[in-house]
Amino acid sequence: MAHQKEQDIEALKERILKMGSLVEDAIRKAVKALVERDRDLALGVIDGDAIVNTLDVEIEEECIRFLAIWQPSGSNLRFVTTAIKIITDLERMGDLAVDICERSVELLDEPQLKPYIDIPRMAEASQKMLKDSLDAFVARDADKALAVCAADDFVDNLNSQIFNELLIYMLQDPKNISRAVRLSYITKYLERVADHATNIAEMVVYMVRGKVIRHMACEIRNSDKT
Amino acid sequence: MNTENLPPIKQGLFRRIFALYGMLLVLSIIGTELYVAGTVRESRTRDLRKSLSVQADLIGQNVPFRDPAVLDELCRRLKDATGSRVTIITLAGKVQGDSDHASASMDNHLTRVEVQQAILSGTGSVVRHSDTLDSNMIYLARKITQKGRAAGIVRLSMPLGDVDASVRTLRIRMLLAVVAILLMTGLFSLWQIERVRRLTVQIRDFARALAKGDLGQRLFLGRAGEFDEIADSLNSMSLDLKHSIAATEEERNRLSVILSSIPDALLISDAQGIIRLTSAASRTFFGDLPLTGRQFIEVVRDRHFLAALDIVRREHRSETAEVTLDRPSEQHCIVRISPLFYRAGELSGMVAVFHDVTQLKKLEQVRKDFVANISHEIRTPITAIQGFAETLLDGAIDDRENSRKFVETIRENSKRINSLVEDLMTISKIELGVISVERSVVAFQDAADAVFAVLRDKAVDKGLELRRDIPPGIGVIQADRDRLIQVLTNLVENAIKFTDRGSVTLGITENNDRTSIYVSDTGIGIQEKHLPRLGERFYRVDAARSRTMGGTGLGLAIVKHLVKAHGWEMRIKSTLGKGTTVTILLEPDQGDAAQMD
Repeated sequence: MAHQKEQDIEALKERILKMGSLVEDAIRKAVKALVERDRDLALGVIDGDAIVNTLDVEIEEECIRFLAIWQPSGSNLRFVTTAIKIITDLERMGDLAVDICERSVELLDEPQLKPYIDIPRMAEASQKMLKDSLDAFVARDADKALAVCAADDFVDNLNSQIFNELLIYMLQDPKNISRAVRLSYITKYLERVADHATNIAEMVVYMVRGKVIRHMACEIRNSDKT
Repeated sequence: MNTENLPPIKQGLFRRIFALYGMLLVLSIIGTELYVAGTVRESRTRDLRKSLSVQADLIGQNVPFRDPAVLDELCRRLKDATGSRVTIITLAGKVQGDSDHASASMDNHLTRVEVQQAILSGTGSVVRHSDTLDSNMIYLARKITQKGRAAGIVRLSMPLGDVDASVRTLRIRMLLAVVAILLMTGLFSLWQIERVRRLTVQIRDFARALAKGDLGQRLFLGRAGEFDEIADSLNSMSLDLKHSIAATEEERNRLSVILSSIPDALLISDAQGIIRLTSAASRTFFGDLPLTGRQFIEVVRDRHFLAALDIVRREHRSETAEVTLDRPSEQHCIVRISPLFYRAGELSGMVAVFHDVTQLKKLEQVRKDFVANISHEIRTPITAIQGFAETLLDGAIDDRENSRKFVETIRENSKRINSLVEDLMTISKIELGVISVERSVVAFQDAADAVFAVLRDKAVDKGLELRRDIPPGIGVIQADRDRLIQVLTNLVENAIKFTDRGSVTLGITENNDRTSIYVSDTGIGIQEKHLPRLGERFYRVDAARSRTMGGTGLGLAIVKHLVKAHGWEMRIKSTLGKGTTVTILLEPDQGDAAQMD
């Protein structure tokens, strides 16, 4: 019987990681579609979100079924509760990828406002955070998860920096406003992706150490680490 | 020997068998004794009765019944002769003569059982306890017929003591025999039990040694009957085990050798997708990521891989996917996942083979880039030529002032196509090996002079200083002079292009007996991620900037090839914003050549 329980946990893990890989792919493609101005790629990502949504519902049902059947305790309980929260974050990130694509398609109506330099950097950082948070989940590595939390500040700073830059474009010429606002939306979405990655990382820390570190300042977390 | 040190075999079984057999033995001996004693007593009594009967008849023929006075005396004499008590009784039961008592004092014997039997059937016999003699007596009475009519009764009696004694003797002998047999069988069976116990211990120890893996030994029990057969089977089992274990081990070794020697990453999983076995080369694909006991998806989180995995699981057929691994460095792989069936129809595992195609991908990319670049590089000047030519034809030809400028532009672009074609020719010649390196002794100073003569104007135009750094003593190297000048020209020209202020230095140094030439500038520098790709044909850090300066994108590629043709080594070090240094390490024995000169 215990064997079956382990198998259920493994199956759950597999589906979560599958969902994670789909979301990683969606965000990567969304940013590519923006930078390369590729309409078909963007539309593909928008269509693909349905799979992520389905997985979200299915995994949640499986988690609840697992809780009902096994009434787990200890690490298994923490795993399943973490799973339920992680998939919510993943699903939101999938939606954000769709949002980025929608804005990118809208941006196609006009010429490119400016060369994209910081946005790909920001996208790269957010994607790395998502990837690292999922890696930390796989490896049950709390230190790696804490590193993800720390990386969030970098993305936040980039976001405000890009916003200031876009503000200048808007002040220079009102014709820039619609494009600049859309780009600003996109950076906000990327910043949100990083936030969700941070959430996942925090849940991984909870799963590994059994300690809640959400809503704590970075310093406290780090002092906790040592 | 060492068997004594081990815990002994439980003895319960032997004790029980011994007790059972002992009991059976005792019971059967007792039974025999009872039967034999009964039979002996009976036959003795029968014999006695017969002989008494004959005696009585013989006595009876000579007894003068009508003369009672002599009968007592007669009886006493008869007793002396036969040893039996003799009594003579009339048919009415009156005792007429007795060997032991005075007949007159004796009571009527008609009531005695033997007498009554004798009157009725001629013979009567009975065994009765005699109070007077305190022993069992046998009495035998015989009716005597004289001259055709019954004359009287002769009774003989004898103590049965003899019979009893012989039965008793028999019983004692048998008892002795029983004790002796019991002792003997006891000893014998103890010996046997001990022997069996020893054999059992031996067999047990052998079996234990087998279980521990101490194979190939032989169990020898001596002449042990059935145990020999057991020993034989155990020996052949040991041998078979040894062979089959050796075969298994060889199989395992073979597998591990295969797994450690194939260059591809090989992950073998069970039916659940949990990795159980990996090849040694997997490390180069996955770094220090733990593999065994993990799910595929934990190791490769790639949707193409997952899609392939799903197909393998669902449809039980092989599937190929293209994945990019990023640990420890980026690698493009073709992965083929195949289902494993240990039993028909039931998926028992999967094997995923990762084949590194990073190099192929790179080559493919280089080829694609080359074709794209060459068409682009040629099209740009051709478009310009075409455009200006058309403008001239459209009437500008009459505009003296501008037409000259247009024609100059056309010439510039033609030159650029020309230099591009020349560079391409050079590169393909070098690649084909048509250009050979003719070494001679070259004074580095001369080469540097030649380079600077060509490029001084360009440097002066940009306000740059051209420096030379040639320490005394290492002024001479072995090289193909023309090629060396070509290399240095390309490098210095590049340095001038990407430096806006400061200087470009061409120098030669010696370090650890190895001479090296370097070109360093104080220019914009190159981002580190570009460094590995420098020297690829048409690879440009900043394409727009390079082209405005008339670069073909082939300069460094030519340098790289020429350096390689000399057997030298090129290294590029750069700091963004600070400058770049290109170092060419000459072959190690250059120093000697220089000194010999």
